[in-house]
Amino acid sequence: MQLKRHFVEAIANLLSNKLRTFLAVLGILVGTASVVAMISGGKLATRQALAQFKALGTNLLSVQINKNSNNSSSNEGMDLSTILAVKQASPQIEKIAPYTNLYVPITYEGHVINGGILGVTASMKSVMKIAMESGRFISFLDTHENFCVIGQDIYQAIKNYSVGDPIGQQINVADNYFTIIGVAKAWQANSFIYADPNNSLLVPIETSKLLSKYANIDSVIFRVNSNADIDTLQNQIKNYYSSMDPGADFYFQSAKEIIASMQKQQEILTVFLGFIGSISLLVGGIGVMNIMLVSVTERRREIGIRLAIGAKRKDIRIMFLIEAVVLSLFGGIVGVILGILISFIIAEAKHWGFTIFLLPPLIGFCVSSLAGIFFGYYPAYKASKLDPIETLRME
Amino acid sequence: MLPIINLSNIVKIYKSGSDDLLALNHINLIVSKGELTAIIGESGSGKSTLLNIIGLLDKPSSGIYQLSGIAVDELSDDELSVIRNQKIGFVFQSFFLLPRLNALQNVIMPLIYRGVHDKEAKLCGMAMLEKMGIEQLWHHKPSQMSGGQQQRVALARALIGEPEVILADEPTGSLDSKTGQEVMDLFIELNNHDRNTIIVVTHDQHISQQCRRVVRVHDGSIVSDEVN
Repeated sequence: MQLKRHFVEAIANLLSNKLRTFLAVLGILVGTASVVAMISGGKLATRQALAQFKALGTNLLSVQINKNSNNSSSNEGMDLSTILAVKQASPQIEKIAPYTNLYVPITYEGHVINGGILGVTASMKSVMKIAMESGRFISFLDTHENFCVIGQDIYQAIKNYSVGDPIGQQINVADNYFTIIGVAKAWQANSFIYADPNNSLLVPIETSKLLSKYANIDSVIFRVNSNADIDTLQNQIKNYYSSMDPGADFYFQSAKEIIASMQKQQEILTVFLGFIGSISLLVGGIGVMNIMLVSVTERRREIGIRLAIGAKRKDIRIMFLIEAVVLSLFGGIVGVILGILISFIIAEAKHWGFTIFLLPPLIGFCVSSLAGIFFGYYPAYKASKLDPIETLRME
Repeated sequence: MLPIINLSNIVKIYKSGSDDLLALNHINLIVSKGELTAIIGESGSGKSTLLNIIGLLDKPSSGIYQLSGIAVDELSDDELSVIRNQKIGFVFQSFFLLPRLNALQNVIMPLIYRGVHDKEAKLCGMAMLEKMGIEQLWHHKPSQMSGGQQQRVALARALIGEPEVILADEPTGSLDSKTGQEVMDLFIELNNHDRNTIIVVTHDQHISQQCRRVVRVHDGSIVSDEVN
C-alpha cells in the first residue's frame, strides 16, 4: 500500500473521532508549545538584555572605588585631577567619566522632588550616550557653577508644577538654587551602570562635592579601545589608583564580562527549560501510546478483516504507526503555533521586540514526530501480531 | 478437473492446559475447480477450523495442504497474506465490512493491498458493484445499508481480486430467509455462469441442499461426502 494512502486513511480515521483525537494530542500539544514558548521566550529575553549594550557599546569598563574601612584616615578619596590622570596609565583608555552619586533634599517651587544628584563631567554625555531634549549638557566650563541638567523623570515631575520651558528655571538642592540648563531625553536603563540619569539632577562634579561632605568620586566609567585587553587594562588602572589611594578597594566590571555571563546563564536556562519541556513531551507521548493501545483493542475486528483480505503484518504495523505519527505531528504543529503565540504574548507584555526563531519550532516539530514514532511503535507492533482467527471470531 | 484445494491427513490440535483438543482428525479433501461445495456440521464439529485452514488463517498441526498446486505449510505470514489476497475471497456471516469506509472503498481494499492504483481499483470496484446490482449504493457506509446489501458488498470484495476460491462462512446466517436465498442465488449464479469455485460452510439444510456437493463434518472427521 502506498504511503500517501496510509496518511489519507490515518487522517480520515483520526477525524472520525475528533474529541478523542484532540484529547490524545493534548499532551504532545502542550509539551511542544511549552518547549517552543520557553526556548523562544528565553532567547527573546537574552536578546533584550543584550540590546541595552548595543545602544551603549560593549567597550565599557567601570570601576567602583570603596573606602577601606580599616583605613579611615583617608576619608577624602582622590580628587578629580588624580582620577582623570589615570589616562596616562594606558593608551587604551579613550574616555573617562567619573561621577559622584548623592541624595540630598530637592524641591521645586516648594514641592519635594524625588531624585538623586549625579556629579558628572562633560565626558559623561558621550560615555553614557545621554541625548538632550533641550538645552545643553554640563560643560567643562561649568566648574563649581550651580547649573544642572534634569533627567526625563525629573522633568515629568516638575511639569506638574509649572508649565513652559524648564530651561533657566531654578531648582532648590540642599538649600542652594540651581539653574536648569538642559533636559535629557529618556535614557535606556542598563544593568552595567548603577546611576540612573532619568531620575537625577546632573550637576558639575566639583559642585556636587560642595553639596555634601560624603560626595566622593566613587565610580568611574571608562570607554576603552575596543581591541583592548580588559584584564591588562584593569590591572594598569588598579595599580595606578592603588598607588594614589592605598586605602581603597577597587571593583571592576566590564560590559564584555557581563555579556558573557548573561549568555552563559541563558544557556543553562535554555537547557533547563528544554528539559522541563521534554518531560511534558514524554508525558504527551505516553498519552499517544495509551490512545493508540485503546484504538488497537477497539479495531481488532478491522485488523482481522484486513489480514484476511491480504494485508501483510507490515501493512498493519505501518497503518497504526502512521496514525500515531499523524497524531503527534498534528499536536506538534498546533503546539509550535501555540508556542510561538505564547512567546509573542510574553514579548508584547514585556515590551520586548518579537522575532520568530527558527530553531525552537524546528526542535519542537522534530521531537514531537519522533515521540509519535517512539510511542506509536509498541501499539503498532502489538496490532500487527494479532491472530486473525481470534479477531474474527464471533462474539 | 484441476484440484484447487488438496488436503491430506490434516490434523489440528488445540492445546488448552493439560487437555489437548483434537479439532480435526486426519482430514482428506480435494476440491476441484468450478465446484460448489457445502461443508455442514453442528457447531463444534470442526467445520470452522477446517475453513480457517483452507483460508490460510490457521495452520494445521500436521498434514499437507496444497492450494492450486502450492504447498503452503512452509510459507511465512507475509507470503500467506499475498496468497490470501490473490487466491482466496472471504465472505463472513456478519459481513465484516469496515464501518468507516463506504461500499466502494470496502470493495477495492484487496486491490489496494495488491498495490493497484486508486483510479484503476475504483473502476474495477464499480464494475463489481454493478455486477452485484448495488452500484447506486457505492457511496453508502455499511451502517446505511441493509443486511442483504452489505453481504453483496462483501461478496463484491471477495470477488474483486478474481480469486481461485470463495470461502463463505455462514453467509446467510445473519439474513432473513428471503434475503438469504437471494445471496445463495448469487452464489449459484456465480458458480454456474463464471465457474467460480465456492465453499460454503453452513448448518442450514436448506442452503446445503442447493449445493452440488455436500461434505458433512462430525467430531473433526469427514463422515460423508455426497454429490447431489
